[in-house]
Amino acid sequence: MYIYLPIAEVSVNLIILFGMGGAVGILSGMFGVGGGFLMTPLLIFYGIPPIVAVATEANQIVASSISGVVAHWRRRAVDFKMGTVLLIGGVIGSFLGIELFALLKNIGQIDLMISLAYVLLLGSIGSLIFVEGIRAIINKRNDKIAQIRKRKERTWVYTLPFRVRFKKSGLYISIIPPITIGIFVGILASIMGVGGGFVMVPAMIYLLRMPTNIVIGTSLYQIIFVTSLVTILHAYENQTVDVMLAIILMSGGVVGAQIGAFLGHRLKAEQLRFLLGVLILAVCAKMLIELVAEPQNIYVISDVLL
Amino acid sequence: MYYYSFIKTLIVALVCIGFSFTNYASANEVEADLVVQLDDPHIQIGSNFFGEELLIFGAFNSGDLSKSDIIIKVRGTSKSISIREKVKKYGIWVNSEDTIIDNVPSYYAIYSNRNIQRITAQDFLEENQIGLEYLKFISNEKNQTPSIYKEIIKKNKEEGIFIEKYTGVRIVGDKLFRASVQLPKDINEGSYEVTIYFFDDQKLVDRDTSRVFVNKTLAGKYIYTQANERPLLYGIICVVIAWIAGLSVAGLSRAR
Repeated sequence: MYIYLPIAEVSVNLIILFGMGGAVGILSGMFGVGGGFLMTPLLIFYGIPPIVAVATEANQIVASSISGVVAHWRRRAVDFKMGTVLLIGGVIGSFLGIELFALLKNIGQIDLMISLAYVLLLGSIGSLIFVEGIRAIINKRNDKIAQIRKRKERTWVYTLPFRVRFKKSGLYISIIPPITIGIFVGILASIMGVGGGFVMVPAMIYLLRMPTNIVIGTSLYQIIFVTSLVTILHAYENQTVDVMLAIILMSGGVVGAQIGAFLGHRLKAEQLRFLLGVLILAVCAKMLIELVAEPQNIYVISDVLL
Repeated sequence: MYYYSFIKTLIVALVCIGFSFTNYASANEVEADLVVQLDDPHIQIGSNFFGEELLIFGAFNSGDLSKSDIIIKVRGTSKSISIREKVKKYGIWVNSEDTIIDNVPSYYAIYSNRNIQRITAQDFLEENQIGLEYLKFISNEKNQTPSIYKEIIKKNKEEGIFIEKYTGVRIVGDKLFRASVQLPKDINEGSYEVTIYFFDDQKLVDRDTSRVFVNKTLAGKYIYTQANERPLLYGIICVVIAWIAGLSVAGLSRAR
């Protein structure tokens, strides 16, 4: 069953796309990750133009983050004040990212930049999760308990000015680090079509020392607004948001996330993490091969839009 | 689908018979040398479009059938394309500076009953841009262009956007011809020019030019125009859809 995507301007198999949305949905349900960093490369491998894949995936993440944040909000596990500070950074980052995107698009290097960013990001995140997964499995065998760092330990983060009290997180810290994190995530969102939770969550735990139980809810809250903005900016600046594709992915993702949440309870956490690491590294490897291997077509031909 | 093509063939057959009658009837009057009919001058690209064929048929007035030839040229609107060569830098393949090529047809097909080189003189083919090798592209850069032109033709041929088919025109009986021109799935919108050349003994006897309009159908076209003409509103609507989708999923999981 083929369907013509009006913005991507390709005919695609509806069942394959729905399946891709579902598969990534299962993963995000299982691992509690947004899935943007897997979905965008998959769309590119399938033949969707990278610029359309990035912008449309940002649109899909809006939906999945909203459905995710509600559960955290009900448990009162969202620090809205911290989320808003992160969001201010996110807004600045999104605008910067879109400008950079437009610049790279004009000099014809945007596809390369997207691939490079993915190789770098997937490579580092994948290896981290992979190593962590192996370590967890070994530790479990040796009956060791992983050491948890002391939370209240003071670092350079606490020496910066503009300190604000965040009641929910029980912190009194400068707003410079959260804004900086927000900016970085905003840039990632607009160039790569990811929510950036995989960067934000560790940064919030290890850098800001926020309590673990409110970290995910807070990052989802920020992601909703940043990806909403990124979607609008891409639609406005580049006309690359394919609403048809987004709807297909959203519906696949919804079904997948339910299955994933169900499966996630049945598998062991360490095994899950190990699996996720392997998967991310595999996507990274494929992306790297396409950058390094002799291309099938030495010429890249594209329409000039007037 | 089969039923549809059967009906199509039937109509073609009937029209052909009709043509031959009119030709016989007017045999002693002033004769038209070439009569052409397009099956469907309006082609819609729907959401499930995966290629369509354009049926062209007609009648010609031949003196000697063995020396009569038909060439059909279908040309889409011209566009500009940018082409970049990939070069290896620091171990990875990077796009180099782009070259802009103008006057590239968005679709181009040559259908004939035999090799066009044998049908008529090269000058004529060149002048009328009949045949892929005679397409006139325009470029601001002079060096390297032949290899780039070759590349454009190769790529478009692979995608079925450029077609050269020397067996594409079938001559039926002694006066009729028909061809079914393939339009691929990723075709551009616009007005396509269909020119039919009728040669008798290597000389052009008559030519007929008509137009075919290719449109994107409602949903696809509507989305495309909205995205390009009201980008801000379109973006906001995309986000609203995502919010509604997200909230309704959250609502569903709460209900359980």
